[in-house]
Amino acid sequence: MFWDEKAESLKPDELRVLQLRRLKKTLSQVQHVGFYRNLLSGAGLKSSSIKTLEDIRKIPFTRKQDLRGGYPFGFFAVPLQKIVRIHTTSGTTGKPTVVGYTRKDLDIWSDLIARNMTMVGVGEKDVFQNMVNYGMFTGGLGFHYGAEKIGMTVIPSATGNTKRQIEMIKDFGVTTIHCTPSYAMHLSEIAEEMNVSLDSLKTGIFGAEPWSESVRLTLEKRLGVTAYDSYGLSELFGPGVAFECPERDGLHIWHDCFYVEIIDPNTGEQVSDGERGELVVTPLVKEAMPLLRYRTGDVTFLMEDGCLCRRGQKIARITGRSDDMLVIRGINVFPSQIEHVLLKIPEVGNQFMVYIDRINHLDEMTVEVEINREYFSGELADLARLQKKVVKELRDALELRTTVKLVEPGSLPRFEGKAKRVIDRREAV
Amino acid sequence: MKSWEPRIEEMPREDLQKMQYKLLKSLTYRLYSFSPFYHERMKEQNVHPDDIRDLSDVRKLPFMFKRDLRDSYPDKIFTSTQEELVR
Repeated sequence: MFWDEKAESLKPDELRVLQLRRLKKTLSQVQHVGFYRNLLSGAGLKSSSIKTLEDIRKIPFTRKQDLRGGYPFGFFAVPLQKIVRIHTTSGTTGKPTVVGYTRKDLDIWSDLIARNMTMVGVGEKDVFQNMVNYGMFTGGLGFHYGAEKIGMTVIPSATGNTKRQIEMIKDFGVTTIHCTPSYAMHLSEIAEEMNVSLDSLKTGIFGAEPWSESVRLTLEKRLGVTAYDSYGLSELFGPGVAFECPERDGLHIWHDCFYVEIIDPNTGEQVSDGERGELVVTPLVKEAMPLLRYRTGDVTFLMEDGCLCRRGQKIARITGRSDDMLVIRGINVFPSQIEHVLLKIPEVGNQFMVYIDRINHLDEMTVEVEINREYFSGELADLARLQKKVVKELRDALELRTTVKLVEPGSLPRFEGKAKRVIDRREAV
Repeated sequence: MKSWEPRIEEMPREDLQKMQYKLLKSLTYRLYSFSPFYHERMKEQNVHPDDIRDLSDVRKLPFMFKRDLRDSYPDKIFTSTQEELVR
């Protein structure tokens, strides 16, 4: 089943014509953004310099830290009156990355979700429980409007209260769920504890963090679903960028909307066909916030063409990051953000360690930081107050609950050369 | 002050009441025919959609309480099919 058969099954030559036309339009759209005017003129490029799709390689990359420089609205290519929604995603330090959408952007985004959902065979006969954050995170509203568009019955249950979630699945006859794979594991355990069998479930859509084939088997068995991998990032609308089809061997990325390159993260050069590298995407249809050659940081490769479902070339499931970004309970965290928070608290030192564990299938992050003796009275009550303060500051900055351990000055390891401050003790999901 | 929908928002009171009556009348028929819950309630109250002849006849209709909604959990009060529901 197709949502938009023509767009989803374009022949390679038709696709290239469309991509080039849209790339040229994007190049004129980015002229409204100061950063891009400077970037292109700095590289000696005019709009006439891009004659073929391959000419895109002349354009310098855009990185996440570049977006930070534009905080809050510096990357908007339309006046604020034309922006109808704003989402944010974690930045590399301090401020979040802001993304904006015009009415047309929202329409295209929900269309992409509609393609994905239709591709896995769900529709108006299905009841859909969307168990992700509905706030600034794009996974909530993004999936919500796409699912409504194809006429599913949508339950915006958001996160938390797992027993209530299970009750609703049972009482409302939910057939389709969307959440992080680790939350799905947790849900299946609580359902078992409650002695509830979730017989109505058929389809599970899992994303926002990487997960393995063995987790797929476990979730399918425990929840009685067919499990599909979903990929996206807020800078490219949000979820919906790429999605598994019923073959479940790689993800179809929507080439009419996203121009894909796979590069060697160290040299910036294109890797050869089928070789693993960093996914670089130029969105071709974004109005409010066009980007050129955006470094996603996600590691994948382009698979061989010719999927049985007739859709375009797939990317492999994401296997890791080319930078130090961590994914904790579906939330992106950069170690630099943690450092940024700790530097602002004089009572603690500059040395810290981060430990990540998986307890009952949920990620837990522990931050160890040294006390700064100059600011410390030696009172136990002060210690407790300081510990609470660090927890709060981290939660405000990362939107994540962490455990903070205050340790003796000088007790944490000092690094010569590249610091290894993050110890990820989670078993592969 | 600008109106979003001037035809409705700035409608003369008399026209508004005519419109309300028309909508109430069709709603009563729809609920009587398609909702077992309202069908029962109207029978209990000894009122039929034909008895609604002007807007003030709304008083003939039974009240509905929050507990009625609770008692019809999860979907007994819906008059649309699951396929028609989008949220």
